[in-house]
Amino acid sequence: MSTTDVIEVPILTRVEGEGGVTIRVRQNTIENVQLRIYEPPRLFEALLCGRALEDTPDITARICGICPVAYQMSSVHALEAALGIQTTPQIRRLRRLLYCGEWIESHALHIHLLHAPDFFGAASGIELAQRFPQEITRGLQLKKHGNRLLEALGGRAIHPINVAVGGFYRLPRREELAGLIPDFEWGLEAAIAATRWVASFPFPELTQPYEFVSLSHPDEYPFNEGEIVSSQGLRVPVTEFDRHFVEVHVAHSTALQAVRHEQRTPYFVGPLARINLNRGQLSQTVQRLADEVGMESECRNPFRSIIARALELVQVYEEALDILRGYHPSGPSRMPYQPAAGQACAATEAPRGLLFHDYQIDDAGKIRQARIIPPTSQNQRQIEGDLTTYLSRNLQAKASREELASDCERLVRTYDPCISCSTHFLRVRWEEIP
Amino acid sequence: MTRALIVGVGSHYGDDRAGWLILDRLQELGFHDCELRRVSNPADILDFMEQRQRLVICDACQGAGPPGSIHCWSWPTDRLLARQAHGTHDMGLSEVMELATGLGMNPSSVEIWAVEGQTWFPSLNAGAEVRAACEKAATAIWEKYADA
Repeated sequence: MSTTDVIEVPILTRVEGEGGVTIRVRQNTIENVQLRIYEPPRLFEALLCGRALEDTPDITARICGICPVAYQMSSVHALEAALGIQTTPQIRRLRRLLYCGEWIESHALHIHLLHAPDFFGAASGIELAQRFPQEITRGLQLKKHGNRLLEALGGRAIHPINVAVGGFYRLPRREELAGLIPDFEWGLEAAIAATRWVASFPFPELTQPYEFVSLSHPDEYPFNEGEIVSSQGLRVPVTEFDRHFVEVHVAHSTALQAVRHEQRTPYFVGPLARINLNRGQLSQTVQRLADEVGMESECRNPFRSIIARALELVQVYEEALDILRGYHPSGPSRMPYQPAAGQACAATEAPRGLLFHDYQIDDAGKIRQARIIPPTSQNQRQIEGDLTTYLSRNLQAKASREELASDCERLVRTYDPCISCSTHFLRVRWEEIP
Repeated sequence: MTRALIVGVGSHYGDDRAGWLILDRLQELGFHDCELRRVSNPADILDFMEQRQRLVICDACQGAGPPGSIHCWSWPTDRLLARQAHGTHDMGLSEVMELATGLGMNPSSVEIWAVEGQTWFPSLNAGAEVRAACEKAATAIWEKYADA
């Protein structure tokens, strides 16, 4: 007779949104792991239908309070592709700068308050702050820089309001951005120190045969543009996303799970994927730092994502400083266009990974159809795979149920999941009652 | 040392606007003696705390009295419910203050002005009692902190 028992993590803590994990164990073997996302669907895609295309960046920004810029960027790039809009080099640089602000804010927060506590058995950032007050204070300072940059360029730190289809509603004055330079010079050094700090953490062993996926651009570290590449040799334009990736519905999650189209295998997006696939596009400073802290050229340990995140923090501080120093407002703040029917997609790199948007618009400039595939949806299946491997090993090592439940949370948090972002779908069944 | 800071914490959920309404009223009254900041997330208060002697936080509260009642507490206080945060979107005021205390960031004087709310539905305006209470609270803050 077989016996089954279930380990439950009812609510994952220190992740954005509401989800849990259920592990079914049969005869001391992991039978099934489910990352349960039970937060209600947000229905943003349906909300966009019938709205003017100009509303899209502001509405999609509301999907997330941590990464609103990512939603704005993917939406404006897709809509501009549909309308044939070419922006100016200055608009392009300012969009990269805005993304720098968001990555700084999001990465600094995750590294210091959400993820670092796991390496020291601390229950929260508050507890960790008692042990590492200088490091946590430094992390909060970095987060603040990200917010200040978003305020200066985006109009406000949470849900910026300055992003428009075609550019920005207003170009910032030179002095508004130049005033940030001293803080960012300090922040660059602080981010380097933070990277050295996190690289000294004790990392659990877990190596998986991942397929990493990210954007890649020949000339720059990927934000807004590039081809989709993978560690298994895929290299395709974003327009071919649907040929290679597909979302599937699972009963235990209100969020769709993305898998590779033909193989139905999971894949991994986010900082670790980006660093692994774009090491050559990192600045010289970051490449040297990666070597110094012993970051492998293809790291396959998800717990070391915190180092990848910190290296990216340094990367975006450097790029932000470069843009801030060279900024002289000139030319139009946004490009004119005429509404026209069309369809287009775009992908950009949110702090948590690849964010894909696809829109159809009608000839009056109204959204007819919208589809948004956030990074957490794409990582869900991989998270379940990681949990199965990691827990199987720890189960054999006779870890207690409480320890296993804690292990689950720690592993899930390495992905920095944003569950609220991922719940973008609800399958509705209509029953006709005669 | 910079000016005293008054932060309004709020959202678009009915009476949860209270912190913002107090701040709006202070602005209408032409209150320039303190720096005024409006935030949605208590964690954002950390961004503005440094180098302050005085911090005033305006927020909605629940369970402290009848709707529209005004409360003023000095930090630290046991009147704020400490709860386990599930993320950073919902890091509560007490946790933020605890973190700031642990890091030595808290100003020497922290006062929390709270207005009891009743309805918390999205996109609703605050109720009449709460709106009236916010005006009273703003006047009281103005009188207390003029020339702060």
